[in-house]
Amino acid sequence: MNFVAILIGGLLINNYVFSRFLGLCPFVGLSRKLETATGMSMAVVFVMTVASAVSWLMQRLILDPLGLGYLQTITFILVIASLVQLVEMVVQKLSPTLYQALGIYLPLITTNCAVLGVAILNIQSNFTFAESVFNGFASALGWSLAILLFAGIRERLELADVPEAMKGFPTALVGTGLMSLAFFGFQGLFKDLFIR
Amino acid sequence: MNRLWNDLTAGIVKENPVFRLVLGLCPTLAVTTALMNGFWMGMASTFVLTMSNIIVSLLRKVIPEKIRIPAYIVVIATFVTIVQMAMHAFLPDMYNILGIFVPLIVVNCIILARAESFAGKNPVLNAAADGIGMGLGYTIAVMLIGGIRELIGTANLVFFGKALFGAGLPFPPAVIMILPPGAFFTLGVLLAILNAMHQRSKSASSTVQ
Amino acid sequence: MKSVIRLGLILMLFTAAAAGLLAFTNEATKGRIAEQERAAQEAALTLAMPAATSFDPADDLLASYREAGQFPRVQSIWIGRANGQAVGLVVKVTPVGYGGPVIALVGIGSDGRSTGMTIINAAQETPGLGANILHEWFQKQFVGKEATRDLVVVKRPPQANNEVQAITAATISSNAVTDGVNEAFDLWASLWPRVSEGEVSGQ
Repeated sequence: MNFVAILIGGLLINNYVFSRFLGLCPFVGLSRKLETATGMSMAVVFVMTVASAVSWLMQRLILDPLGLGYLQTITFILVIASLVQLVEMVVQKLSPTLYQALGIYLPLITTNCAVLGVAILNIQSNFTFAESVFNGFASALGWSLAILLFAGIRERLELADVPEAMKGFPTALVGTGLMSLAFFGFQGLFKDLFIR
Repeated sequence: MNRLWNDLTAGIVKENPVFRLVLGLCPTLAVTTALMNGFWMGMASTFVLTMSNIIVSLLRKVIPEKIRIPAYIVVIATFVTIVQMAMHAFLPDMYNILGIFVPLIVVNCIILARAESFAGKNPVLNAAADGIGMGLGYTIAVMLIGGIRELIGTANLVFFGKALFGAGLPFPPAVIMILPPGAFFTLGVLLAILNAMHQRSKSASSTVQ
Repeated sequence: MKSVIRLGLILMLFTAAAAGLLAFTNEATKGRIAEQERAAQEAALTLAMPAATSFDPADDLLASYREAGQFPRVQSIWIGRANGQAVGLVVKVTPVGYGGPVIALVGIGSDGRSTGMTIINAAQETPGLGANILHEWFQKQFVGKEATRDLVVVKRPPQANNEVQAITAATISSNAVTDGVNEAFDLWASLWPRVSEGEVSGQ
């Protein structure tokens, strides 16, 4: 599996929002404004990349050698939760400006299933350490691409004359469906890249 | 007794986690390509929700305030792993279909939200009733979405391994409904219909008054 | 500081109890899961080669190909036996379909004809489209093909021995499966003479 394939897969073909259904709650919840979408995107890229690295090490260096594979779920979620806390403290100490930008989004990430999702998918796909980290990064970029595009659309939708019953979630979901349809066109495009 | 009944039924209609609270979207959309997928996902979530509600409620006086969230996560993750192993052993086909979304029940916001906002503050019987009610509400919602998608997308419905319409209904299946876009469309339209019904009943009751 | 230690201890107690409970559940389900997987594999192998009564894993034969980077889609192989005699090879291939890898078993008998093809995992394929490769009529097409000729996917009922009919609107998945089968055929052509010879000299 080469890195180009992972990048294109994460960005377009297996986009976390449009085809894998991961990270939808923050996607719908925070896509009303481009500004919040940008903040969340940065936080997600950061946490997903680091979580991919740490969870891979936990699995391959601790759980696998000890034959404790069945503790995967509980280990990963605890690792992610503490990681988010740690990142929050470190960012606060090192860069108050960055903390101001990301601060309120960081605690929300623990329950973003995209993070736990990428950690488990990395292991299931038998990725090497470098592939895992890169996959975390690429998938997070794909998620960010989705939320940024959609926030742009939604800012305009706010001004549109939508039937009362369709306001809010229904419009957001139908809009996401249409974008998912568009992204569907990417599937199968780069098929040959995925042959190991 | 009356209160217990209220706690049980609240989650099914009034506070339905999917249709009214719009929580836990990922599994709701991802696994609902068929009625039975919705059924088993609903059952798995109901079990985790009820058990974690019971344990959290029992331990609500023991768990220190400061570490309650990590403690809740440990409780939830434990029951999710139990479900995962049980499914792997007894329903291997379903385990393969639901795939990554079984372990991801851990991060289903409904469960942590109920532990935090209900089970951590209420006695154990009410917490159990709330868990069962919310779980049933969730199950009904995902079965409805799964059923609609399967019906339109394959022109048939399979219930416990039996096709309900024999050779299929007399219309060409709209495959888009079982593809990812269909999931978004189905839930979007369902929510809009429910909104419209809600508004109509609200305006009807206000004219009566 | 004291309270931090106390909180840490309580949390540790929690995780210890959780781990204990999970270890217990794991013990209780482990045997059944292993048995389940063994039975599923046995059944799939029999579907791929009904004539064989036992299957010997023979992945060590793949080592030299692995080093040369040949047959990248082949995962494992078994030698199918009936009454102790080798009657063919079963090859596990993982070609890439529409959404991800598809896992299939291909059986090729000693006469150079395929004995069966069964798909064990197509979970990544689109339900209603690509996932139709799981249908029996599609898999049945791969029985009795000559392993010395590459299969070709056509969009009409097949006319020659080396043709298989694609699934409507799922050409990519149909092609993927056929690619996998062709690779299994090539492996058979390269490996079978060695296997049958080894059998003779070994006895």
